[in-house]
Amino acid sequence: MRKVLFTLFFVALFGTVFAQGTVTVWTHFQGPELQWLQSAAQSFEKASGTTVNVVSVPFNDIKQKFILGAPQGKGPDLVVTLPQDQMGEMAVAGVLEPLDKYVTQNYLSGLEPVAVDAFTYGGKLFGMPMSAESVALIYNKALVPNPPKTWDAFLATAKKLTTGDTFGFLYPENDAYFNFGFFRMEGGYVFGKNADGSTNTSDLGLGGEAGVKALDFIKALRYTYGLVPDGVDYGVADGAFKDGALGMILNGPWALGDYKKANLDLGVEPFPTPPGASRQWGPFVGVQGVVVNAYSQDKVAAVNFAKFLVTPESQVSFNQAGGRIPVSKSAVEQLKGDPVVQGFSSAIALGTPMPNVPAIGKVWGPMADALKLAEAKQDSDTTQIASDLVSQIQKGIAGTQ
Amino acid sequence: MTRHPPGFRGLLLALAALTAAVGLAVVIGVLLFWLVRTRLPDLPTYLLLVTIGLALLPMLVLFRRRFPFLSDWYYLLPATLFLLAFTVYPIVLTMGLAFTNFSGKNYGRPDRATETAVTFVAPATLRFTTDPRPALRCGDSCVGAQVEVYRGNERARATIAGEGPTALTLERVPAFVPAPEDGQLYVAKVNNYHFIGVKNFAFILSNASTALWPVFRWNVVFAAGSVILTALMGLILGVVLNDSRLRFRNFYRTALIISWALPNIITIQMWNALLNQQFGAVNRLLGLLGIYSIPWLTQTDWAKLGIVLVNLWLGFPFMMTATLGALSTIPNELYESAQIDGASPWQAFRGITLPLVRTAFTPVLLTSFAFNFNNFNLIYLILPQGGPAIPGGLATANSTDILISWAYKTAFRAEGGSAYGLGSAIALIIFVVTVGISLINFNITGAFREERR
Repeated sequence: MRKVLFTLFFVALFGTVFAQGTVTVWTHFQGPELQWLQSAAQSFEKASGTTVNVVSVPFNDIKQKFILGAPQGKGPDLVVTLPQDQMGEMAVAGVLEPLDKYVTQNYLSGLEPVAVDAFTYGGKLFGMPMSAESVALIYNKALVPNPPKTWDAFLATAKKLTTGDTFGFLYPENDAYFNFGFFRMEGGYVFGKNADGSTNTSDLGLGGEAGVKALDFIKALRYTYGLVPDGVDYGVADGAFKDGALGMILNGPWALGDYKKANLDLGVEPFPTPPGASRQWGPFVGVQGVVVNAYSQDKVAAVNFAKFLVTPESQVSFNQAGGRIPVSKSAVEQLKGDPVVQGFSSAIALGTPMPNVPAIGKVWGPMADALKLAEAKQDSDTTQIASDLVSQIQKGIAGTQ
Repeated sequence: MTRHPPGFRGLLLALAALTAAVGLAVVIGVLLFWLVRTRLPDLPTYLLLVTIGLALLPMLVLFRRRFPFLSDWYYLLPATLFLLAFTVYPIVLTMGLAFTNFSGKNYGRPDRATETAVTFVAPATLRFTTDPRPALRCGDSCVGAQVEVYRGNERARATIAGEGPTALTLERVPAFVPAPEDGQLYVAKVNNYHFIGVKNFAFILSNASTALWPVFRWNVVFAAGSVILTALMGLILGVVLNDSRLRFRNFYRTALIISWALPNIITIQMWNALLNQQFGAVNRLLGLLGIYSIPWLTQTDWAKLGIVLVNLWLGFPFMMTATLGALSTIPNELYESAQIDGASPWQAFRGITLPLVRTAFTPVLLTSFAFNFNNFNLIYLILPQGGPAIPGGLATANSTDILISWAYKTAFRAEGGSAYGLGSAIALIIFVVTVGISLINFNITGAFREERR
C-alpha cells in the first residue's frame, strides 16, 4: 500500500513538473532534417517541461490547412518552417501572430538583414528566420572534376556527359521557382518597387523583352544544346543525381541531406551566366522561418520553442543535418570553412528575395504554364507566351476581389 | 394501424410534425447541455449531439401518441437527418459562398499586418501615433470600416464612425475597452468578406473560351470515352471468361481484377512514373519495339489519351465483374435451344446475351459515367503539377483538368491563391451540369421508368 502511495506521489510530482502545456508543431521537414527537429523537440522538453508534438504535413498543404484550421482551433501552435512567399497571405488572413513584441533588438541585429526583410510585412515581423536557401549549380565531383565556373566550361562538360546513360545537366524545367534566375539574368523581375520601397504589384517584370529572352534561353537548353529532355521533373532530376547518373543539377540546400547520405562528393557554384545576358544569373532567395499561430492557446510556450530553434547553435546543427544556409551572422561565421555553404552563400548573394506580398501566390501558376508552353514545341511563340504570362498574372491579382 | 392522411396535405402535416419533434428535441437538448455545462465547464461541445439524441427519443414517442401515422416516417428519419447534415447543408453553404469574395485575403478576420497599438480616450476615440489610414490600409477613408479591438484575450468587433489626423472614433465602444489598462490595446482592420453578386460567375464566363468551355468539353469526352472503352473491354473479357470451355478461368478472373483491387491513390501515381517520357517503363518498352519516345503526359493530345488509357486499366475490372454477374443470370437453356434452332454463336450473342445483359448494364453505365465525370483522383494525382497548359488559359485550368479539379485548384492550391468563393462558384456550375446530365441520361435510358408503369 505504501509503495503504491509512493508511486502515486511521484507520478503526481512529475506530472506537475512536466505537464506544462503542449505545443503542436507542423513541419514539412523530411529525413535528416525531421530527425533534427525531433531531437530538438526532445531537448526542449527536457529543458522546459513543455511537451512538443511534431506533426509532418506536406509542404504544399500547410498554407491551406493553416488558414482554414487555425481560427477553428485546429491549427498547430507553430509551423517549422515556412518560406516568406506564403507568409504574406497568411498574415493578411489573420492567422499569424506578429512577433515584434516577443523579440529583442539584439536578436534582430544578429540576423542577416535580408532575412529580417523577408519576414517583415506591413512593418511587422511575422516569423523568426531560421535558414536561407536558393538554387545553385550542384555538381558531382566524380563526374565533373573541375568547377564549371564559366558558361563555356559548363556547356562543354554538360554536352560531354549527356550520353544516354548519363546526363550532363538536368533541372525541373517546368518549375517557376527554379527558372527565375534565367528571367533575372535577362533583366526580368517579378514586381517593381514604389517610391517608398514597398512592393508595387501592378508593375510586372516577367514579360516583355526580358521574358521572351528568358523563355528562349530555357527552350535552347532543350532544343539547341540538347541538355534537358522532355519529361524531367524534380523527382527525375533529383533521382538521377542521387544515383550518380547526373553531373550537374540546379537544386537547393534542402536536397543536400540526401546527397550526403548517398556519399556524393559535391561542389556548389552559382549557375554560370551565358554571354549576351544583360546581367548575372541570380536565383530567388527564400528565407524559411518559424511562424506562430495567432489563435494559439499558449503563445508564450510556442514562442519559447521558436526561439530555441533559431539560436545560432541550432542553426549550425540544422545546417549539418540537412544543409540549409543559416541566417544568423554568428552561425554563418562558424560555417565559413564549409565549401558547400560558401557555394550557396555566393549564389544567395547574387539573388533577389522572393516577394512576400500575397500577390506572389498568383505568379507561380501562370509562370509554370508559360514554361510548359514555351518548352512544348521548338517553334513555340515566346513573344505571345510572355505577353500572356503578364496578362494571366494581372487577371489573377485582380481576380474578383 | 391508423391510416396516413391522404394527399399533399397529409405530407405537409407529417413533415410539420416531424420538424416540430426534431426542433423541440434540439431546444430541450441544448437546455440540457447548458445545464450540465454549468456543473462541468470542461464538457466538450460534441456531447450536445448526445443530449439532443436523448431528448429526441421521448419526443418521438410523444408525437407518435398524438399522430399515430408518424411511425412510418420514423424509418426514414435517421437517413433524412444524415442527408440534411452531410449533403443538403454543404450544398446550401457552397451556394452561399459562390456569391461572396471569400478567400485567404478576404477571410472575415483581423488582418494582422495592420495591427496597430492604440490608446483609448473617452468617450469613443482610439488615439494613434501615426496617420491611421495607411496603418490600417483603409485607402482614402477609414469611416465605415470594420475593425477588431483587442487586449490580451479579450477581443471585439467595432465599426469606425469618424476619423482625425491621428485618431479614429468608434460607433460603439466594446465593454472591455475603457477598463483600467492591464495591457496594450491593439486595433486591426477586418479583411471583410461580403456579398459580391454574380462577379464570380462573370469571371468564369469571361474566361469561358480558354477555361470553362475546353474544360467542360474534355470532361464530357473523358467521362464518355472512359465509360465506352471500359464497358467494351469488360464485356468482351466477361463473355470470354464466362465460357466454361476456358481452362483456368478462375485464375484469369482473379488476375484481371488486380488493377481494381489495388488502391488507386497508389496505382495512379505509379502510372505517372511509368508514363514518364524519358525514364518511364512504357516508353522504354516501346523503344525496344523501335517506337520513338511518346510524350505521354507532356503534350496535350497524348496526355489526354494516356489518361483515358490509364482509366481503362483502372476501370475495366468493374465492368468485367458486372458482365459476369449479368451473364450468370442467363439460363443455359436459352443457348441450348438457340443451338438446336441452328443459330451461330454470333447470332446467339446478339439475340440472347446482349439484350439480357443490357438491362443489368444500363444502371452500371450511368453510375460509371457519373463517377468518371467527377473522377478527381485520376485527373489530379496523375499530373499533380498540372497538365500541359492551354495557351492564354488560367493556371488553374490546364488541358487535362476536369471541372472538379479546376474547382479544387482554384480554392486550395497555390495557383488559385485560396479563392474559396470562386471555387464554390465553379462547384455550383458542376452541380448544375451534373444534375442536367443525369436528368438527360435518365430520360434517354428510362432508368426510372419502370416504377411509373
